[in-house]
Amino acid sequence: MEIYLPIAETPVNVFVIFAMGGAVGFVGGLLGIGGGFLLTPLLIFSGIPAAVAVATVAPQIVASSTSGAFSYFRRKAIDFKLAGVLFATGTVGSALGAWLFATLGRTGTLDLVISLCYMIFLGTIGAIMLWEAVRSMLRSRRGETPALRRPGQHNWIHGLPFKIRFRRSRLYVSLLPIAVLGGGIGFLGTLLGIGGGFILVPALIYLLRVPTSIVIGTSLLQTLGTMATATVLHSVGTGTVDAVLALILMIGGVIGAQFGAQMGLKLRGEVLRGLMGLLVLTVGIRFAVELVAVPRDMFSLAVLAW
Amino acid sequence: MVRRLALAFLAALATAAPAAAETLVASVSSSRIEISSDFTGTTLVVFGVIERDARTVARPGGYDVVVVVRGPDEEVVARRKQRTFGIWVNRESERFPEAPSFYSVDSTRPLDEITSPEILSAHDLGLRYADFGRGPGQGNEPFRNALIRIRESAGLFAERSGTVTMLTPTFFQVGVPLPGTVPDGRFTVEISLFGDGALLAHNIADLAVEKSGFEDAVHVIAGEQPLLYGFVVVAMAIFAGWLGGVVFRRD
Repeated sequence: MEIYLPIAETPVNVFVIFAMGGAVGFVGGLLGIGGGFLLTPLLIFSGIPAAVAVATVAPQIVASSTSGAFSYFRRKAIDFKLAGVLFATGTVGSALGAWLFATLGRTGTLDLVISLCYMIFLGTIGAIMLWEAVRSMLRSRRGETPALRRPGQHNWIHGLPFKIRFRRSRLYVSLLPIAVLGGGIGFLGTLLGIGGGFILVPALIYLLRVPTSIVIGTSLLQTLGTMATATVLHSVGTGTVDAVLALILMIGGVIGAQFGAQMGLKLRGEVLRGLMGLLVLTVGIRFAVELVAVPRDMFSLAVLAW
Repeated sequence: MVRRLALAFLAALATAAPAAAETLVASVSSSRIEISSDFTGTTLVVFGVIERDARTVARPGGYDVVVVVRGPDEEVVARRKQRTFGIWVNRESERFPEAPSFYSVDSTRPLDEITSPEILSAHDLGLRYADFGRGPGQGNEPFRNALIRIRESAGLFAERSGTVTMLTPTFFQVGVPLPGTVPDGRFTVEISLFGDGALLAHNIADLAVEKSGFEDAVHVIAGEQPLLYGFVVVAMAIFAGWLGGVVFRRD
């Protein structure tokens, strides 16, 4: 069944888009991530303009993080103060990201920057994840128990000034790393159409030592806020948010995520991390190939004004 | 000076005289096309009659009809990629301030056989002769060709000959396909009648391509009320997420 997308201005098959949303939702649910970094490239590769893909994935991430955030909220596993600080700084990053997005769009370099960032970003993170997962799989096969890393309660980050207290996380840390983290994720998320959960969660655990039980809920709330901001900023800045496309993706994503989450309970941690690493790396390589390979067409068109 | 003007006037009269002889009565199957959610393209039927009277000279060569369907103009930039540090980057570019968003030409015979290149470019007939705000032969050929080629492969530009059929010597008809990707806005349907290489009559009809229903509302609100639109999309997302959480609640 074909449907006409009002902003992308192209007809698409509803079931293909629905399946895409569902598949990414499934993977997201399986691995405990939002999946924006998969969905955006998938849309781009299937012919949706890059600007529309990035801007439209933002509300899809809002939807998927809302369902997660509600269930963590019921379990009271959210640090609202921490999420609030992350969100506030994230908004600043988002504004910067949206501004850069609109500027690059006008000069014709947006697609290139998106591809480059995805390549570098996903390539690096994917390689690290895969390496880490393979190492721990080999270790457990050799029968070694992974050395339980017991890092000290404090690292260099805890020596920075402007400390504030987060009661829910039982944390007393400087505002600076939180601001950098929130701002950076807001910026990248808005520019690239990713929620950033897959960076934020490890960063909160390893860098800030936020208790694991609170991390995911807090991260989801931050993602929700930042991506909601990104949606509004993209609507105003470039007008590339496609509500119809977003709605189909959301429905597919929310359903897919449920099945993914159930499946995820049955798989081992390092297998999951390995799968995710492989997936991230593959998408990164796909972008690299796109950038290096001789383009099928040297020319491209862009409409500047009506 | 006066003599030259008088000559020009006479020349104009001479070329205008046969044009007064034939008249063109043409119509399109619909003056309004709606793009709704299930729109995957349609065919616009253009038909008409060439009216002759007693004074009309005989045309042993017969008539030729050219039908141009043109969408609203846009400013388009064509960019060329070049390899820079191993990756392909957009470098040179060329702007076309008046590129039509849709342009299709249908004719009874190939345009070159109908009339001269001068007349074709004077009337913007044919992909090779139409003016996109940057006429042909201004050192931008590769970009111009790219614009035409890319839009052709997207189904937005087309040039077909032999598609206008003469059902009788004076009655013609053509079905112009409009693809699913057709842009919206005010279109023009230009019908030109040629005989013996001369433009005999010319007729322009308006065609409105409009988005309708839900899609149109979305498009309009996104353009006119972007802030409101953004908030509505966010509200929709939060609602969808919440609903999903409630429906699939397990704890």
